[in-house]
Amino acid sequence: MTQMTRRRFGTLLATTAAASSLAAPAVLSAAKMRLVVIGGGPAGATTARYVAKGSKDVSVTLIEPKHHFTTCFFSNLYLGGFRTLESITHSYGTLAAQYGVNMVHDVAMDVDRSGKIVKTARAGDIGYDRLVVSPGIEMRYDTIEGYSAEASTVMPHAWQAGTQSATLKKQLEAMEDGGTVVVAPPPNPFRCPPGPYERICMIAHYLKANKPKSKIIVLDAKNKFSKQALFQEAWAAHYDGMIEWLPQEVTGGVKAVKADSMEVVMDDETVKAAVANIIPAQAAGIIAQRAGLTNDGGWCPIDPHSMRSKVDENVFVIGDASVASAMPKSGFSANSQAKVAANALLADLTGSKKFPAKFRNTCWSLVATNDGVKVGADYKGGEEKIDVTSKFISKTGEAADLRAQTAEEANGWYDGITKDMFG
Amino acid sequence: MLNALVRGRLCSASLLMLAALAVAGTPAAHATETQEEKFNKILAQADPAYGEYLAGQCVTCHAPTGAAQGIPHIHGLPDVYLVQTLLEYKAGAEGRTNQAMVNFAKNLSDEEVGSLAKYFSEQTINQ
Repeated sequence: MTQMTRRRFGTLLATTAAASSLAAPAVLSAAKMRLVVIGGGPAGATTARYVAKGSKDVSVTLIEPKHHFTTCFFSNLYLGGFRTLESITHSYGTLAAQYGVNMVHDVAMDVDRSGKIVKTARAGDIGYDRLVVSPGIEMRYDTIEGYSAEASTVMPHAWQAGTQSATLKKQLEAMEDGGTVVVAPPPNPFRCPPGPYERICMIAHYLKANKPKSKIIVLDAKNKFSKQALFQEAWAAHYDGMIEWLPQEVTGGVKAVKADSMEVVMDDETVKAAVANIIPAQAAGIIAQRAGLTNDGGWCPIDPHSMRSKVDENVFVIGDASVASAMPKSGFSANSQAKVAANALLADLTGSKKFPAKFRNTCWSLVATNDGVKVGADYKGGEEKIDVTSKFISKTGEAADLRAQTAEEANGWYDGITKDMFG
Repeated sequence: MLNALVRGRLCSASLLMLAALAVAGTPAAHATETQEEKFNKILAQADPAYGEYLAGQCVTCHAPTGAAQGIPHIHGLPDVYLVQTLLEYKAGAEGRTNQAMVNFAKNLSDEEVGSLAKYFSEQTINQ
């Protein structure tokens, strides 16, 4: 793949040399190289911004149906009453106005990889020299009997932020004191491993203040989870007696839901819920599957040094849709992967220098007012996959001032990453 | 930010001790290297393009806006101060305990420290 690029630039140089000084302007005025990005989340928006600011000689088109993007990260804080939906919703205006990114607010329907064309629903065909596929996740509704996109309007997953988050919040606000909230975290791998458990904290925080007789039953598809000791410490410390976590080995996990009667069905038991937050198994966004970039598990294998698809050298897959091995599916990971990919894309498209792949991730979780915990790691491109260089995690029993500092840090990070995504 | 600068100065004493320990038994010319010489040597290795690339890892948290909600701003600070700070995190100096920073700095080479410090010293706060 790099060989092809080198050949192309070799040709350009040869042309310049042969035609002497006249050739240089001809090369400069040649049609710009075209980068097309599908999906304007942390992966896609960051890639678009970094490639656009990295070179004036690349035209960058970002295909994203929404005009405003509500971040999944911090949407739990909205449920807990710490944030408004507006404060976690962002415009693509700066990417277009300041960085010259061509925004196409449309749905990418299919990719013709041999013709290097993205087919959109309304804006027609868009050709590319390099394509970034960063569609995030698709819900695998078929893994829970009775669950569907339609059922999710009654039993929201709220695992794509915006309308779904607002539905869940309204339901929490409407329920009677003393009701049962069911939260059903998904099987691995899924977006934001600590997310369901932070959400449990945030729902409990709301209920404790407003509906203290209510209960949260957690019907997990797993037997263990991210930051488990830290979350369980927080549940006992802040929400004692309110949360019951039932691992997969106890219930068998959620097998079916009945949205009309608000029932959640396990192997031998059925729970009637006042509010049911059902988060199903996930796979790469549907466009990645249609483009033929996914493996048998529904995710996209990538080269760990560049995020280039292992299926097509002209395509990069970044963020939740990719198989990033040790890196969790998180907004931070996606943003970090985007910068490695942007460096590789600029090397492909402009001949600039490709540096070694280095990635980072930190996931902060707010467990109560002024009580934050975090987990993180640094990564590098390894021989076969993305490898951990070193990692860290908050400790149980930390002093209150450190926890307050960690919670505040998350606010600073939110401002940093959203500025890095949207400019 | 003032606090951070003061803390940086205090930590430099322990850093000097570490440096002294590290060079014990090496030729005399190295033993007399001052902290300033050491920092300048690191800064001389700076690669601007590499610094810009690596900075991508920093700006996910350190916004260029000058705001400091639990995360200090680093854009436009003096290069020597930034080298010193990164080395303190790398060495696990007293007061440099933030896990995310310790984890990041421990993997940095001198070239990377120099490249990052140089890059951020040349940035301006952009609100």
